[in-house]
Amino acid sequence: MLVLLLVLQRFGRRQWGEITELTTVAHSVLLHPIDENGDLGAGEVGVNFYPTDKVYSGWSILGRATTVMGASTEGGGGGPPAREGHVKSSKKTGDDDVGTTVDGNPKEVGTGGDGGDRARNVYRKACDDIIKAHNLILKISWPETSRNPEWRIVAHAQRLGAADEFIRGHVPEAKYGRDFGRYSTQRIRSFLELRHDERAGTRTLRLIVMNRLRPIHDLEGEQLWDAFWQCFMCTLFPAVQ
Amino acid sequence: MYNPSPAGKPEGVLNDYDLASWREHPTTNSDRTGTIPFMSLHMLGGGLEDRIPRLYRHDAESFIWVLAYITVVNVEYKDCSVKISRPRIIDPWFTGDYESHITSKHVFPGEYGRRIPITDPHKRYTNAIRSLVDYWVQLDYASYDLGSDEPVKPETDDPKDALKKFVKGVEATFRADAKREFANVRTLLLRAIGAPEVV
Repeated sequence: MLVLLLVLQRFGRRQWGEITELTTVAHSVLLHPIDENGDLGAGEVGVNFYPTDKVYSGWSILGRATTVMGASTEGGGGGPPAREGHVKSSKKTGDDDVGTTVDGNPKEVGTGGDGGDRARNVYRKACDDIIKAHNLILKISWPETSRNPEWRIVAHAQRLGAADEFIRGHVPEAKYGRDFGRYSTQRIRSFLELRHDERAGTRTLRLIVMNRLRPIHDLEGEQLWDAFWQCFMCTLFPAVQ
Repeated sequence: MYNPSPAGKPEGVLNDYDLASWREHPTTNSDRTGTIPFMSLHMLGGGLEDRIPRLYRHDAESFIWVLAYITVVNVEYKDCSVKISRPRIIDPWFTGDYESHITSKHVFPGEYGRRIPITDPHKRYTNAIRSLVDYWVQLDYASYDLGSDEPVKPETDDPKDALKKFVKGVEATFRADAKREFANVRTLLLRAIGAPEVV
């Protein structure tokens, strides 16, 4: 027991599992710019992130969970940062909605008339304000290293979009990214002899910054119908080429 | 997701590519990817372990379940947050009980716009969306090869053919209003797959 206590005493913050790059007081992290080929450049850009402006937070064990939050670059945020915590991000059940509370209980269906319209307008104004201030999102995830980085897939989609009307404007923009290899799960997997293949099953901490989009369920009627089929076509076109 | 354009017309954006892969360079990861609530009936029928190969038509079907879902949930706006409530009948989509999930989707078209109310802004598309989901349900029923001893042939992935059949299939069941709402989509779909003539 004494030996165990002495061992634990020697643990630093990182050994306890803290990701020190993301727990800075300034809430800023250095990432690499992503070029049009989906490669990371050598330079570094400071990206501010806002933990209380949570866009998505799935429940999972460390090493698997994905978290998405508002972000901005110096001078690129489109204005002063909004008050943190401006957009509530509580979540009860389900894993399908972003920045929302999902409730399985049935409610009266309808938009609620004038009261509903007013509430919707207040919500939209709040979203507009925070998106102006935090015009980017930072996605923190633990993908398997055997997978292609998301920035490379997005860059490929962007290239396809340059020549095709069904894709152009309907894929996101990946701006900055970085893998933090020191948090890779490879070491523990090797120690436990889980697999001999070095890459299989190994996950790494990956940060990617993209332009901020809005959830499609905010749209109504014809706007939803049009936006939906644009997404449908976008996924269809590469498949039929 | 969508991007509000300066012209005021929102642009749909296909997002979240971190589980995407190239067919020529598959990942060594063996997990079934996809969002379970919107997974196609064919894939659900195989269970997560059964490894039914993912086909283009599975993704097309998933899209339609997403569209249907958005039109039946109630979105309540309060200050700066939204609260989404779904009808109880689709609760099984969000559980690990695949049999109940499949049954819920099988009965969905019949209940859509009836016991499952459509939220106000989407009501004009009720008949169109009911036909869109019903197409996939009927396709799933047809895949149950009742009473045949013949082994089921593995399905080839032919996105163009799947889309042509989809357009033809849904149009066969469309009412006049649904046909009208779908007209522009039909033109675009057929142009995208290089079949601008009547299917």
